[in-house]
Amino acid sequence: MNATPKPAFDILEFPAQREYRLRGDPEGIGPLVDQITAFIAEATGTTDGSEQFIGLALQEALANAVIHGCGNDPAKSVHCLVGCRPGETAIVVRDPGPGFDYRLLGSPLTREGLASDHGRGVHMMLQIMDEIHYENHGTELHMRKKLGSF
Amino acid sequence: MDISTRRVGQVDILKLRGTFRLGDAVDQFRSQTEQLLNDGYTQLVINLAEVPMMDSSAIGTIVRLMTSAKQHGGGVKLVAPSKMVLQTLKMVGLLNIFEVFDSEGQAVESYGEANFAAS
Repeated sequence: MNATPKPAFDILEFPAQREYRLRGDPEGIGPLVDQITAFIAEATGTTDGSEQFIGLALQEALANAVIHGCGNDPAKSVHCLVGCRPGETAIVVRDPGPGFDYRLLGSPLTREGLASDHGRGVHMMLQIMDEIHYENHGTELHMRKKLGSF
Repeated sequence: MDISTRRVGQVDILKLRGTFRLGDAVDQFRSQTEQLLNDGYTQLVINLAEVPMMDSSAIGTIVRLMTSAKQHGGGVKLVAPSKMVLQTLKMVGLLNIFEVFDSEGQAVESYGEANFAAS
């Protein structure tokens, strides 16, 4: 399982941008994902519902950031940047945690992985997004997706 | 997410409505299904027709539920997952692990239960 090499995109170059802060509380993730998904649909001009899969990848990214980056501590927060242009979106998620090495994650497709009740989030992001890349020791996630290509 | 339950013979049918993801939805589902297992009801059918999206937390909860149910001689069967949920289950390799049915009736019948009232 491999993320892509360092991304060739700069989210600041996307003409439509929004910035969000999420407290380290799992209950806040879902509503924020819904809000961002609606923004993505409008800003990219997507009409086929494919932005819902980006919402799923974002759900996974924010869940990891809140659970592992914030330790579910509402006093901590996650920073999320979303950039859109027609037919494409980019997302950056930053958390205050200690970081991790995604390369050390086991595959959820092994016998043990399939039987496990956790460990699928990064795999799902890799399956959905066209590019994902971790910076700053795994505390900063960059991902990009061309809509309609899922 | 709303969860409604009914029983046909020894089979419990849980109909879920809404997004199934980390937070209250997963906590509520886990709590209700743990109670069913504790009470000895291990043959479960989960109707996903009105669940537009499941995240990895929800999937993990259903996997754990199936493991527990099977350990007690039961199981977990899925009904009418949406296209997105089907694709998500396929993405994580679980589409061939779970039995999926088009209707609650078919799922209940697969446990060998008779006298099913149409849903």
